[in-house]
Amino acid sequence: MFARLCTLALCLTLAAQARAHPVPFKDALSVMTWNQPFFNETMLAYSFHRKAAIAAQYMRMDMADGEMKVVTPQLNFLAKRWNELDSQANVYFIGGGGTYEFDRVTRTTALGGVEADWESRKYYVSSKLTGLWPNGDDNTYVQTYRAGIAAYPSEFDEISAWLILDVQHINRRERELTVTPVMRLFYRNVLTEIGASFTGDFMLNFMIHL
Amino acid sequence: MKKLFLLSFVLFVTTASAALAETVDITVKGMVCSFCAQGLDKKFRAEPAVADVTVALKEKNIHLKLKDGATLADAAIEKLVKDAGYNVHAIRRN
Repeated sequence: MFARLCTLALCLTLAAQARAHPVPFKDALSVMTWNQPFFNETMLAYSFHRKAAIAAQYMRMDMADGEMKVVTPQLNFLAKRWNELDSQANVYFIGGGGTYEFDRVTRTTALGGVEADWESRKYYVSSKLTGLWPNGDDNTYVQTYRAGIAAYPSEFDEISAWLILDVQHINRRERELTVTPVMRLFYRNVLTEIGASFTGDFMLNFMIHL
Repeated sequence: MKKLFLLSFVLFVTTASAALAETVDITVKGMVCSFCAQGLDKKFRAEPAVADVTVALKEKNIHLKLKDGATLADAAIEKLVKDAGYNVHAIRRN
């Protein structure tokens, strides 16, 4: 399953704006929160350079054998961007370390990730792989793959609507794979997403660039 | 003669003010998403030389209206676009 998902990721063009750019424009402050019943992630990021942002992240996951909580400061780095007239593609790397709490035991952990995306005004694909390597506990890998299509070609001052299929795999969950159709809406600097998985789990995401 | 003088004056003022208020059109590469392009709008609006900004995703264009007598060099425009995460394809001045 892991190998197949990795292949899918490469076909989709590597990993990460699946959710949002981890490095927004220079001097931007971003607040992002991604929520499912079994997964919560909140990130505050500041782009001190057009290619790098410092961030603080909180992550909570329900695993097969308990609840995990992670708090990490991290560095998001834009490794490569391809700006074309009708499209943009990006590759990001993420690295950090912090605290990892599982089964009421707190440990230190390293965090790493790679993200890639490609988008035009009509289509969007992305993938993201995040790994957690806690000291003295099992590793956790979260993979997210996305493909989307714009409901209509929107202009700068209009509400944009996208239909997205989100495929998420978490290796330590009882049900490892979650497939969620998502409606993404954004207007100016505010983005929101709402969806429900085929197994009935909601998804509610929010992001703002300041 | 008086009418001719007045007409000349009006033409002079109109031409002079048009010459003072420069407009700039920038074709931008990679500008495909309005959420991400907010940075461009924000950065150009923060420029003291800029009076107004209009972003058109379909045309991949940013239209700048500069303040009377103000200028904005190509190098400054390219830096602002780059800081916002994009690349300049062309700059046209009117």
